[in-house]
Amino acid sequence: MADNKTITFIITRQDSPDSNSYKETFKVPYKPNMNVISALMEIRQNPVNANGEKTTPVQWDMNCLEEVCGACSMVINGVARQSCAALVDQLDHPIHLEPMSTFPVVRDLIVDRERMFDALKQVKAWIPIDGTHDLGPGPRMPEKKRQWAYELSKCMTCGVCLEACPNVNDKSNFIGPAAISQARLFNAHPTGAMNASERLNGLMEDGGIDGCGNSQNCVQVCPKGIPLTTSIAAMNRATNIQAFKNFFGSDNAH
Amino acid sequence: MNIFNAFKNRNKGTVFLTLETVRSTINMSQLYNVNSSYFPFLRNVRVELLNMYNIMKLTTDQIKGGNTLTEHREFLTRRLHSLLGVIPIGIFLIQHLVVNHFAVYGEENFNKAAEFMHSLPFRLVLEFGVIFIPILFHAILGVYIVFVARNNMRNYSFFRNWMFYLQRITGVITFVFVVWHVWETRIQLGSEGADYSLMEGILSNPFMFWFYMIGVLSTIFHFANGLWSFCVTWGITQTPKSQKIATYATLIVFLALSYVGVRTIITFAYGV
Repeated sequence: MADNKTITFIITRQDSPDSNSYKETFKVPYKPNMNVISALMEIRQNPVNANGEKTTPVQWDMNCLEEVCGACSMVINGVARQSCAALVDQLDHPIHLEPMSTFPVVRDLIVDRERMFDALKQVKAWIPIDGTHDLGPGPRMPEKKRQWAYELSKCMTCGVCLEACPNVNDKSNFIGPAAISQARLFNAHPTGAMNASERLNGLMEDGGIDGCGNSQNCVQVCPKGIPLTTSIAAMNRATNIQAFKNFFGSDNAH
Repeated sequence: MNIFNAFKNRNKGTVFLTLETVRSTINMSQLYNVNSSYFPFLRNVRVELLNMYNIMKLTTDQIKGGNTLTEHREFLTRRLHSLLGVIPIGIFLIQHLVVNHFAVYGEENFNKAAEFMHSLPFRLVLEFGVIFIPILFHAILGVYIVFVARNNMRNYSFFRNWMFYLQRITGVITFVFVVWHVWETRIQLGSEGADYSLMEGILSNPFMFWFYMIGVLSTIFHFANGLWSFCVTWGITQTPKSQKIATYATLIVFLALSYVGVRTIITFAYGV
């Protein structure tokens, strides 16, 4: 009977940031086309584990449910990805859910991705145009450049590339691929290019671009297909040139 | 533009204080002599403004200047690490393998070549400047780099992730091998040069034969794959296509140098 079919979830849980993690198994009634989030919603409706004991509902983070917000990242069967886009029919069973290990756990599957925002601050991933008077229109952007820069702008700071990177961990201070690619995005912008050196110098600070070891996992796992390794190589070239400009001096080191 | 005008226009959008805004407000407050005893609170405002100005100036100076060698130390150290792996260490490795290949053309040829290398002028300076110091720097920082990685091929078994892992494994093997090799064929001999019979004696032992085989192949792999990441680190290969072709090119480097190294070891061990 298809009606009685259940899906087994083995979820790594943690009650608070400081407590120890533990695994809890749940059996969720199967529905056609369900994804990991709809299964988690079933658990929330009926928080009873596989032993039939009543438990607290599993906490997770979500927002858009269409793989553009980046909030619902978690490790599903060992691989970091968006849980909204993880279809139960396409996964191996039982399904293992874990929080991303690169980030501090807030509760259950919710992690604190603040280090990604710190990284964006380090590389000044914005364009400073605010001021006390109207600056007028900025320079135009070539259409071809806009097309590849648009791909970089799809980054949703989901943290999957950081989770897959062997060099982003508790032993290193590497900021990870996402912020490096964002520095490239804002340096590609004609107005952003006016502050290009500030971003490059940010990339050269401790934990910056030199932490990359070229394992290239990031580009393989990025849910938005961002050419992260191309961005890293491009920023490698740019930071090297910036380092020479800083040392020897250049009128173009703006 | 000063803070007061900015405040007037606050409904038109976010107001950001720039260095110039703060400076001009301080100037204006001096112009109107607002530190008078009639408005004591305005004096506090001016002190606050001066504090704000000094902090902003400091930050701006840090951005504008000060990008000297003392900052970005980690970045520069890692770039030096990448450079030294190719120049001079990689170039020395190729030279070393090629000169040793003289063994294949007979004992006399090898001894002549070894004697030539041994009698180069300024030999100690060359050895320390081109070989010992660069290798020590590369190796010690390299061990640290190995330590900070958390390998994850089990879940992310991509080709480049395996190369990343092998680069670290072969780096450690190479370090152990090079330390032993330098001790055995250089430090132990003092001012004497190594010759064919010494290498023949070492490599006719089956354990040492395989130790050298693994050591030499590790070193060559570490160099060839290091060339690939050198091209990325220095921003030479950016596109996925150029990086893929660099993979094939460095594979050829690995195979060619491996032939040279393995052929030499076989000659020393079996005389063929």
